[in-house]
Amino acid sequence: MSVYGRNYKGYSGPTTSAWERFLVISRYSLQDVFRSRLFTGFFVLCFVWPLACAVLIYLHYNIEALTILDLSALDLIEIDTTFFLWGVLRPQTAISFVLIMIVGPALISPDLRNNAMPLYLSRPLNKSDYILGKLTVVLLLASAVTWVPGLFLFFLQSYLAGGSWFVDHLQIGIGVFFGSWVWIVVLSIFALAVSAWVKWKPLATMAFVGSIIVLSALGTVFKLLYDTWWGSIIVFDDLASRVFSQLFGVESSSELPVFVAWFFLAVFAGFSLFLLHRRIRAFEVIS
Amino acid sequence: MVETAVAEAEPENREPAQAGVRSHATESPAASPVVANDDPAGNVIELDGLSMRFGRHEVLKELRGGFGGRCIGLLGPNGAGKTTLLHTLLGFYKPSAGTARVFGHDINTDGKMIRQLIGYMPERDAFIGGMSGVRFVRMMGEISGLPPRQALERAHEVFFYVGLGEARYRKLESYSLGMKQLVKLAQAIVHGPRLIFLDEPTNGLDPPARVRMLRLIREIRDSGAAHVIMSSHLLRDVEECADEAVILKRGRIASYCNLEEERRANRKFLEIETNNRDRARGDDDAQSSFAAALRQLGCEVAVQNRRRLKAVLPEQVEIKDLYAAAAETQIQIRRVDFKRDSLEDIFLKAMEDEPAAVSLGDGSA
Repeated sequence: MSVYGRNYKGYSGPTTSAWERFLVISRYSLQDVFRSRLFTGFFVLCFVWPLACAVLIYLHYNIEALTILDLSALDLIEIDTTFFLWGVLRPQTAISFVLIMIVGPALISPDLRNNAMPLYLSRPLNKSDYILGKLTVVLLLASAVTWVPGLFLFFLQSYLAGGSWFVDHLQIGIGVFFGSWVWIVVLSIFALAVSAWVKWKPLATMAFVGSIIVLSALGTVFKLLYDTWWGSIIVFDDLASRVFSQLFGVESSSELPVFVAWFFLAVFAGFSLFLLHRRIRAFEVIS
Repeated sequence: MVETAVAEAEPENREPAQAGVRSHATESPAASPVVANDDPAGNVIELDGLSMRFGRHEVLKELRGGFGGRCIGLLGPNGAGKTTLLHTLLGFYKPSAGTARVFGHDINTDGKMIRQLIGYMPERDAFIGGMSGVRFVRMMGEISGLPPRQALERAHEVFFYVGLGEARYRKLESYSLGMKQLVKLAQAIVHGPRLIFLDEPTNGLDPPARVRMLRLIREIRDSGAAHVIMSSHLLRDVEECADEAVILKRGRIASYCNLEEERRANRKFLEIETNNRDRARGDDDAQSSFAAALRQLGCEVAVQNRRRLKAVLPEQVEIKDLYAAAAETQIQIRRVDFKRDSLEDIFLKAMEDEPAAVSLGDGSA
């Protein structure tokens, strides 16, 4: 027989500041994401390509290593805008697409399926905080494989090249940073919107990929049939490519006006955010 | 969240009900009754013309009043607006008119502040998938503002408090319905809220689990550390736990009842059935002498007939004194009834009053 009884008691200890509470959601979601060994393995693989690029940059400035490998600097790919756009940013954004596809659609759908929204929203947290908490997870992971290694490579090159390379090629840094952000923000919001509307995780992932593929296919068919750039407004990759070209300051083969690309990316993100806000609520209300 | 204490030293720090209304009053729904409070500052919740509408359907209709009891029971048939009232106070829905204040904070402007003070146990199954019980409750504590270490400590404590200590590392999906109800309670109290909303807390529980849940609610109430608002359509649950009951009917407050006052008042009012054991004297004489003995004790007595009488006992008189008086006057007490309006009587009375139906004519059903 128990000697002790237990009584209810309030809490009067320290509390965290209100602004940082959305980070609790991010922290717990990140822990859940990395609980999968498969994902952890994939995440590590995401850094293989930037590492290879770093080695390439290093080789450019290490005569001894080149001698050992029996190579000259001229045999290597030139480290310039094209390298950073097509050799660093594009591959890493493609990888980040896969990463967002894995993580994003699984973030909100389980909460909706298990009616967890009233538990979150009955606390000092509003739905913007909840969305921000979930969005932070995708943004952190996607940042880690896009602009973070991209800028690391840019600074490595600047350091090794020395002189005025950094100032002369500042546009590359800007392109890597802002180009990555445009890509990951738009895709992350879209992934969360899909996750909020499709409650079953595998179906949400398929819906995310499927909608991108279907829109791209429709846009491409439209472009080919009518020989017009208007089809590009629903092809996410075309919109992003056009914006990347502007940010890197290089000529684009696309006829799509750059302001149209920016506009439709904003529309895409805005519409996703609207869908997300409509769906995140404590309870469904049927008027 | 919980403290260990020697079992014998059970604290009795329960605060008296604060609401000023002393007895129930059924009012015309044409104007929702004001649940008055002599001390407005003592109100936990003040409703100020609160209305809530979903499309054309008006679910809450100009609710007014204040509640300050330790445990307030929200009663009403399905669709009366109990859950909607809780959700509106939590800020899930924006009021279509009027407002309400929780601990003096306006629900229209201080939503986050209010939710900081509240713990909410939803009616429906609600959890976060893939988590162990203790991790889930810890996370809820952290979102409510507890630092990670404190949240972990309290999550463990609260699991033992609700009686799930041994199951705290199990995945939530593997919990039975009764266990899920207890986990919902655990997450509602982990951050030590000052006000706890329990929406149908005994839903789907088997009798032992129900008894345990009600005991926990009474313990929280009696601790004096938090006010409890318990929404239920089970009168017995409310009667067992609440010291105030608010009966909602079609979005209006149909009745208010201070159960604590009712219990106190009714405990003194007795209906006694007697039997004359002294055959040498008549029943009337025997009844009269017993009545006289009761009056000597200070009771107010009304003789109904030769076998029944009604008595109102003063504070100092106890039931054993009645038996002593009966023994002295050779009277056998065959039955003693504590005559009182049960919550069921009050509820049925509130439901019978049909003027609410009249208001449905305005298309706000």
